[in-house]
Amino acid sequence: MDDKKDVWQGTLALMILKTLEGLGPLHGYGIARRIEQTSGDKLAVNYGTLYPALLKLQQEGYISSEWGFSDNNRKAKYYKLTRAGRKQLEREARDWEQTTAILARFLESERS
Amino acid sequence: MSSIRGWISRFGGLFGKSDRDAELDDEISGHLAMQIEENIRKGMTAQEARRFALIQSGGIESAKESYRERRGIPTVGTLMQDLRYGARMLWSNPGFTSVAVLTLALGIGANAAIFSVVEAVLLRPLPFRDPSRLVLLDEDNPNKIGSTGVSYPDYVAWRNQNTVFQETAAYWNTGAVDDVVLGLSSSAERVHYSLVTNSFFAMLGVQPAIGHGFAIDDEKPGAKVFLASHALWQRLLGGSPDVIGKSYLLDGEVYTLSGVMPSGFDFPRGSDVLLPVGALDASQMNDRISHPFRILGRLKLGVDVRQAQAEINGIQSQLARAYPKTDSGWRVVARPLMDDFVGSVRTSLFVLMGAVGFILLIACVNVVNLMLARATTREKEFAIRSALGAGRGRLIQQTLTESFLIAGISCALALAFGNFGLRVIGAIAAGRIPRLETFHLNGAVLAFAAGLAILTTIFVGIAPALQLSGVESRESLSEGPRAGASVRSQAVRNALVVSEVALTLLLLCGAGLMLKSLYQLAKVSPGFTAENLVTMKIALPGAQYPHGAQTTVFLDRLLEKLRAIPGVQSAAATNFVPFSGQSDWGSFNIVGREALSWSRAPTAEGRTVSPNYFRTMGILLTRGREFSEEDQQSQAAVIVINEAMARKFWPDSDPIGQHLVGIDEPSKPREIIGIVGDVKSFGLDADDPPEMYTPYHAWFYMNIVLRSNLNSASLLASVRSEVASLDKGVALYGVSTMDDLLSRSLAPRRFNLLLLSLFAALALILAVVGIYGVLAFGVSRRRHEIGIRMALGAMPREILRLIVWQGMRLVFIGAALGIAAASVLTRFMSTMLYGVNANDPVTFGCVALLLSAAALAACYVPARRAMRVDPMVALRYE
Repeated sequence: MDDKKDVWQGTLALMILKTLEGLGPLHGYGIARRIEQTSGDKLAVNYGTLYPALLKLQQEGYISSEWGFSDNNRKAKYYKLTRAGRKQLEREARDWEQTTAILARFLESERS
Repeated sequence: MSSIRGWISRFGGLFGKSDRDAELDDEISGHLAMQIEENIRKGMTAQEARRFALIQSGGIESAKESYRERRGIPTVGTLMQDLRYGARMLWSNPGFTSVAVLTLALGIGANAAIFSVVEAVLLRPLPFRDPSRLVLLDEDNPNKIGSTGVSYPDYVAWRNQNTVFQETAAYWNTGAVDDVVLGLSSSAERVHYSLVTNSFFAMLGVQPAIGHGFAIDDEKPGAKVFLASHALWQRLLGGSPDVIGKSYLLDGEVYTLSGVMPSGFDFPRGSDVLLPVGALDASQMNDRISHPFRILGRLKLGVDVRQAQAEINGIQSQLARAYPKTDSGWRVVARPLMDDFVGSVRTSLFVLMGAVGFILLIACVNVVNLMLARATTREKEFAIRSALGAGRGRLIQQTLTESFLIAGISCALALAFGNFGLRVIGAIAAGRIPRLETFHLNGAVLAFAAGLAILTTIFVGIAPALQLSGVESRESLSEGPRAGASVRSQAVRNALVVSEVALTLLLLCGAGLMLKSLYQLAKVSPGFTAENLVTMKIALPGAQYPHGAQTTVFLDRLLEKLRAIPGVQSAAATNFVPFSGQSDWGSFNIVGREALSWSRAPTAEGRTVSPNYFRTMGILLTRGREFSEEDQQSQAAVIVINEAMARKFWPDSDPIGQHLVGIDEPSKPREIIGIVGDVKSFGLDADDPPEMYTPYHAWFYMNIVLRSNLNSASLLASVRSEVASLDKGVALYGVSTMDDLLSRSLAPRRFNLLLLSLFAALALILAVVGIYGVLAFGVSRRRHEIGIRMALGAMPREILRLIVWQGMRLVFIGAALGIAAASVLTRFMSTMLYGVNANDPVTFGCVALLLSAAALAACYVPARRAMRVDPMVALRYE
C-alpha cells in the first residue's frame, strides 16, 4: 500500500469526468474503485481527496448528483456528467494530451 | 464562469450546515460499507475487512473537514467558529486570560496616557499664528545673576535694524515683580498685568474678542487704556459688553477698558490686564538699565534661530559701543518660543516616555511568555485537532483569532485605564506642567500602542501555531507532556525572563534615583524655619500714597497692629519671600575697589526687610548685628549680607565694616553690619545666591510674614480686618504658609517620582508574574523528572534549591544586564537628580536587592510546589 501514489487534485478531476463518461452515473465508491483499477492499483483514492473533488466539480456545474440505490440495495449518491462537464472533459483531455505530448517530446530530445 | 458559479454555490454552502454534514456522513459511510463488503468478498474476515477499508481510504474526519472547507467560503465560515471557540478557550482559562489582558491593557493604557501628555505639552503647536517660526529673545550678562530680558531702547534698535525677522513684538510680563491694584466700586483687587507693543496682536494672530486693540498713539508715553483677559472680564468686570469704554482705577489712575481678549488666550502667562507700552512714562521708555522686556520675532523664510541670534548680537555690540556704561557685556540669546513654554519639563517627559515604553515592552514580553507556555501545554490539543484534519492554515487561523480576541479586549480596557490615568495626571499636574490645560486621550497614540500589542500577540500567537502544526501528530499524541520539554522553547522563555528583569531593573534604578534625590532635598535646610510661618501680599494703591514716607508709616503701623493680634508671635515684612519665584537683583560697587559702570558691576539679590525679619523667619545671624528699629526709622545707610555674598566678594577678609554703594543710590554708601545664613530662595536644589538686605523704604507692594500658631483662616480674617481698619483700598492676597511654598517647590519632582515609581512598581509586578509563570510552568512540566529524582533519593530541600536557583540564575543575569543598561541610560536624567550621581551604586544595589527579593518570592512558590511533589503520584501521573 505504501508504494501507491496519492492522486493530485487537477488530474483527479479529469479522471472522475472520464470515468463518469465511460460508465455513466456512479457513486463515490465506484468512482474510487474504477480509478484505482484503471491505474492498475498504482493509485490510492481516499475520501479526503475524492469527496472534496466531487464537490468542486459539482459546484462548477460539471457533474450533478442524486441519491439512488446501489446494486445490493444500499443508499448511495450517484454522480453523472452534465453537458458542461462533457465539454470540459473534451477541453481538459485535449489540454492534457498536448501537455503530455510536449513533455514526451521534451524528455525524448533530452535523452538523445 | 464556472468559478463564479462555484463561489455562488459555496456561499450557499455557508447555510444549512447540519443537513449537509449528515448527507456527507451518509455518503461516506455508504462508501465505507461498500468497501468492507468487497473486502469480505475477497475473503477477509469481517474485522479485517473493516480495518483494511479504513486504512485504504484514509482518515474519515479529516476528509470531512476538507470537504467542509471546500463547501463554504472557508474564512467566513470558520471565523465565527474560531471566535466562538477562542472565546470559550479564554473563558475556560480565566487565570491566563486575565493576566494577559490586564498586562497588555496596563501597558497600552500607560503609554496612551503619557504619550497624550507629551503630545499636549511638547508636540502640539502653540495656539498662535504660524508658531513654528516664532523666536524669543532674551539678554544675558555674565556679571548679572541669571538671564534677564531686554531694555526697551535696545528692542527699538533691534526692531529697526534687523533683517532677519518679518515682524517683532515686545512684552513685559510683570508677574514676577509687580502687580497693579484694580480699583472697583466695592473692593480693591490686585491683578497681574503685562505691557505689550501693538505689533504683539498681529504677530500672534490674536485680536480682542470684544472692543478693539491699542491705537498707534498708545505706544507713546501716557497712554491710559487697557485690555482685560476674558477671565478677568467675567470675574470682576461683570462679563457684559457694555463695560467697553468704561474707566477703571489701576493703581489709583484712570484707565479706559478698550477691549476683552478671547477666552482661553493666556499669554503672557497669567496676565489679567494688558497695557500698551505707552503706559510707561518717557523716562522708563528710554531706560537702558532695566531689562524687563522679552522680544518675539518671526523668522523670515530661510533664516534660522542661530543666524537671527548672530545678527541681533551684532546690533547689540554696536549699541554697546554707543552706550558702554549700560549696554556693554550683554549677549543676546534667541531660542524657539516653544522652548520657553516647555522648558524644564521636556527632560522629565522624555524620561517618563521612556519608562512607559519599557513598560509596554515588559508587558509584551510577559504576554509572549504566557502564550508560549500555554502553547506548549496545548501541543496535545493541537495534535488532536491536526489528526482530526485541521490543516496548518486552519490551526494558524485559530490561534490568530485567539490573539485578536486578547488584543481586542486589552485595547478596550486600555482605553479605560488610559482615560483614568490621564485624569489622575491632570489632577496632580494641574498648573504645574505648562500647556496641560487641554488634553485628552490621543487617538493616534492609542492606535500606536494597540497596534504594537496586536502585532505582539499575532507574532506570539503564530509562532506556536507554526511550531505545533509542524509537530508530527503521532509523536505528540503518544509521548505526552514529557516529550515537549523542548530545549529550544525553554531557552526562549529564559531569554524573555532575563530581558524582562533587565528592563524592570532599569525602571527601578530610575525611580530609585528620583527617590534618593527627593530624600536628599528633604534633608536640605531652606535656611529658615518654615513651620508656623504664614505669608501674604499687600499692595497699596500708588496714587493715594504719593510720598514714600507715607508708605513706610503705613507699614510700621500695620506691623504693629499685626503683632498685637493674639497668637501672633512675630510679624515682619519683605519685598520678596523665599520660594515665591520672585526676585530682584541690584548692582553695586565695593567702596575701595575699582568703581565699575552699571553693566559691569557685580550684582546680588536685593531684599528690603523690616527690622525683625531675620528673627521672624528664623534666619540665623552668623556675625555682626541685625537691623534695629532705629536703622529703620532713620533709614540708616546699613546693609546685611548673606554668607554666600561674603564668600564670593570677601573670600579672605572680614566684610563687616566694609561699604557697598548701590548703582541706583550712588550717594549712599552702606556699611555692612551683619552676615546672615544663606537662604535657598529659589528652591532647595538651587545654588545659594549672594543676597543683600536693606531696611525697607518707599514701597507699593510688600510681603507680610507672620509667625503664629493660629490656623491660616482665622489669622487671615484678623489680618484682613486690621488692614481694612487702616485703608480699605489696600489689596490683601496671595496667602500661603511657608511650608506650602516649600512643598510646592518640590511638586514637579514629586510628580516625576510618583509616576516613575508607579511605573517601576508596575514593571516589578509584571516581572514577578513573568518569573513566576515561567518557573511554575517549568515545574509542572518537570513533575515527572522531579518525581524520579525524589524516588532516587533527592531531598526536598535539594529540589527546592534546584528550582529556586533555576529562576534566580535568570534574575541575576537580567539584573546584571539591567544595571549595565541603567548605567548608560540614567545619565539622561541627570538634570532631574539632586545630590545623587546618575550611576549611584547604592541606589543600583538597593533596587537590585529589592528586585531579587521579589523574584525570590516568585521562585519560592513554584519551588515549594515542586518540593511537595509526591514521587508516587508524579510517576503515576502519566
